[in-house]
Amino acid sequence: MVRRVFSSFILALVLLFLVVSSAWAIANPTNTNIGDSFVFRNVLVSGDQLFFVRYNINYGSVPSESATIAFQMAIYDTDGVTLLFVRPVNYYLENIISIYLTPAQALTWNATYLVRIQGSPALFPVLTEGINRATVTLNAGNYREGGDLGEVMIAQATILQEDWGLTILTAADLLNATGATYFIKAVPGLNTMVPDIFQTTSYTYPEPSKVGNQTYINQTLLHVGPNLTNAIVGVAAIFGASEGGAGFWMACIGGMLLGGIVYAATKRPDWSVAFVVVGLGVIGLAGVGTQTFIAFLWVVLALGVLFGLLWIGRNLPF
Amino acid sequence: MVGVPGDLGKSLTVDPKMVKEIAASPQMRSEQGSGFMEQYGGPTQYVEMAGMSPEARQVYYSVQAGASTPEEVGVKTGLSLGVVNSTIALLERRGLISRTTVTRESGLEY
Repeated sequence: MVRRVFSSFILALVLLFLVVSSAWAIANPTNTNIGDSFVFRNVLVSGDQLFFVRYNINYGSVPSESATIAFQMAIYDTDGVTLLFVRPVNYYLENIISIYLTPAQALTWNATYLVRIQGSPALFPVLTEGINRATVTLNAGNYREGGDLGEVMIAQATILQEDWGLTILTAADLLNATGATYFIKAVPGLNTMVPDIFQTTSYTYPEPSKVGNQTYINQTLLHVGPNLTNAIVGVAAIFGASEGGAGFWMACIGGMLLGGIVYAATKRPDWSVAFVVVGLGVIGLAGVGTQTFIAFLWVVLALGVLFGLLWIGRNLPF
Repeated sequence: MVGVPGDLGKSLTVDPKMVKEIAASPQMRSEQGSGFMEQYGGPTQYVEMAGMSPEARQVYYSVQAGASTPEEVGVKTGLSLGVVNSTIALLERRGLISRTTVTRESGLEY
C-alpha cells in the first residue's frame, strides 16, 4: 500500500514537472541578429536619450507565444554583465524597438554599452549568441544628435518597407498610417519627437502647467482685524455655522442697525436704504466673510426690483 | 489560385501578428492595396502558413506553382522525397492540398 502511494506520488511529480516544463518551453529561433543600432540625445527634452535597434528574431515557424513575453531589448553596462534597462520587443522577425531614458536616467555619452536583443530568461534558460541573443557593443559611431532622428527613422522605414513587402511610406517619404503605427509602437512619443516625418499625426504639445493659488482671495481676509475675526469665529461657534455664514449674518445685522440709525436721525427711508447698501458694500470689501459680497449683491438686486416695481406702479396710466 | 512567394515561402517577411493587425484596420488595409500579401494567398493564408514549418510552406507553394507530383515538388524545393511525402501527408490532413488524379508513372498528382 505504501509503495503504491509512494509510486503515485513520484508519478504525479514527474507529470507535474513535464506539464510545467512544456508550458514554459519555447523553440529557439533559427538566428537572432541586430541590423542597426543608434543612440540619440535631446529628442524630447534636453538631456534625454533614445536607444534604438532594428533586429531580426528569425523563426522558420513563428511561435504561438507572443514576442512580448518571449524576447526583450536590453542595455547592459560596459562590463557586459550589469543589466541597466530592459523592454519587451513587440514582434518576431525583422522589426524595431527602442528604450527611452529621461535626463535623470541618461547614460554616459559615447560609452561602450552593450545593446542586446535576447530571449526572456524565464523562457530561455540558456542564451546563445547568434541563436537567441544578439549583441552590439556601442561605439562613437552609434551615437547621434536628436536632430538626426527623423532622417534615420525614414532610412529605417525604407529598409523595412522593402523587407516587409508592405507600404509604410508615402510618395513623399513620410510615414503613412501603417508606418506610423509600428514606429510609434517601437518608439513611443516619436510623433512628438519628430512630427515632421509623419503624413498625419497628433502629438502632445509640452505646455508648462499653471499652478493656481489663493493669493488674491486671501487679500480680503488680510483686511479683517483680529478682533473682528475673533468675533466672527465666536459667533460661528455659538450657532454652529460656518465662518462665512456668521460673517454674512453679522453684516446683515450691522446693515440693519446702520439703516435704523440713519432713519432715526434723518427720517428719510431712501437715505437709510442707501446707507445700508453702501455699508454692506464697505463691509464686504473689508473682507468680513466672502458671503458678505453675496449679501451685498442680493440687497442691490432686491432694491433694484423693488424700486423698479415702484417706478412702474407710479408711471402706469391706470 | 493563390500567388507564390519568391522563395516558395521558405522565409517569412513579417510577424503574422502585424498582418492580422493590418487586415483588421480599414485604414492600414487600404494603404496596402489589393496586393496585400497576395503572393502568399492573402493575409489569412499568410497567418496560417506562418505557423507551419518552412518545408511545409515550400511544398505547399510549389504545388500552388504547378508541381503535380512528389518528384516535381522535390525538384522545385530541393527537399528529399521522404520529407516531401511526409509534408504532403501533413498538408492533406490540414486540408490545404488534396489528391486529384492517380497516374501510373509518377504516383500522385495534387
